[in-house]
Amino acid sequence: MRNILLLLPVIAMTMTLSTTTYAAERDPIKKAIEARQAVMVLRSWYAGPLFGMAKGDIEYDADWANALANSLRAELDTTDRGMWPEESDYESYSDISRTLPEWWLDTEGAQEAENQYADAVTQLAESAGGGLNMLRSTIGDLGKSCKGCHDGYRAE
Amino acid sequence: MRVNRKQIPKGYTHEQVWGIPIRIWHWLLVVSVISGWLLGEFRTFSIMQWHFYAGYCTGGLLFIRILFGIWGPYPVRFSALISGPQAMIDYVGTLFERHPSGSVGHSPIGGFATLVILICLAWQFTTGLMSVDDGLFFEGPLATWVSSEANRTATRFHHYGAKAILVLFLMHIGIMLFYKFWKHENLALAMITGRKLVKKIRP
Repeated sequence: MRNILLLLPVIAMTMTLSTTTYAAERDPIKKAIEARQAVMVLRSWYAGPLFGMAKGDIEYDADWANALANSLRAELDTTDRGMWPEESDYESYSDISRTLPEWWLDTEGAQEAENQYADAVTQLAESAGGGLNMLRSTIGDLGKSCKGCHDGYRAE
Repeated sequence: MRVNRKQIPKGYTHEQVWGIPIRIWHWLLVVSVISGWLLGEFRTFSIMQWHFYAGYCTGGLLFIRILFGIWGPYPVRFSALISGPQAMIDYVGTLFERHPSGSVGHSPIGGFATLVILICLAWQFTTGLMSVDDGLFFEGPLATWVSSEANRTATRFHHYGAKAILVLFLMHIGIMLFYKFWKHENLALAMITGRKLVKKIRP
C-alpha cells in the first residue's frame, strides 16, 4: 500500500507533463507561427539565388532566374490570413515568434508592406528572365520591401 | 597655419604634438566611419557592398592604430591614453576652468574617451563580420563560420553599435566645441596642423 502511495506523485507528474507536451504540440497558435515561418523559409529559398546572381556570386541563368521569380510570384497566391492569429507575436511567444505586436496594431502599415512586397515580386517575375541587367533593375525593390518589413515588424 | 605669438596665452607654448601619420590616420578614420555609418544606416541592395568596403577600411585603420599604440610616438601610445582614476578625477575638477588644458596629447579624460571610441569601433567591425541582413541578402564574410543564433546576436549588437557610434560622434563634436569656445583651445585645428597649446611645467 505504501509503495502505491509513493507512486502516486510520480504518476501525477507524468500525467501533467504528458498533457502539457500534448497541449504544446496541439497549440494552434504555435502551428500558425511555424506555418508562416515556413513561408519565409520558402521565399528566402527562391530569392537567395536571385540576389546571388544580381551580386555576381552566382552565374546568371535566365531560365533559372525566371523560374525562381515566378515561384515567388506564385507563392503570393498561397498565403492564408489564418497564419497570423492574434497573440502570436514576439511578446506572447518570444521563444519562437519574431513578429512584433506592431504588425497587428499598425494594420495600414502592415498592409502597405505586403503590397510593396507583392508589387516587387510581380515586377521581378516579369523581368528576372530578361537578362542580368533586367534582374538587377528590379531586385533592389525586393530587397527594400524585405528589409522594410523586417525593420518595422520583426524583433531583432 | 601658425599661431601668432601674441595669441599664445601666458604659461603655454605652441608645440608639435601630433605627427603626420596619426593626423592622416585620424582623418581617414573620419571618412571611413562616417561613410560606413551612412552606407549602413541607409543601406540598399545596390550600395551594401560599399558598406562592407568602408568596414574593411575601418578595420585596417584599427589594426594600424594598435601598431601605433604599441610602437608609436608618445602621445598616441596606449600607455599615454590610460590614466589612473585619481588623475581623471583631478582633471574633471579643472575641466570647467576657462583656459586651455594644455595636455601634451590627450588629457586623462580625452585618453579614456579615445579608448572607448576605439573599443566601440573594434566591436562594430567584429560584429559586422558576423552579421546578416536577410532582407537584402547580404552577410558578413565570417557569418557562415558561426551559428545562425550567433548571426542574429551579432546583427543586433551591430545595430546597437551604430547607435553608440552616433552618440560618441556627437559627443566628440560637442566636446571639441566646448574646448574651442569655453576653454579657448582649438583641438580640431591641432589635429590638422599637429601643433597644440602645451602648458609649461613651471609657468
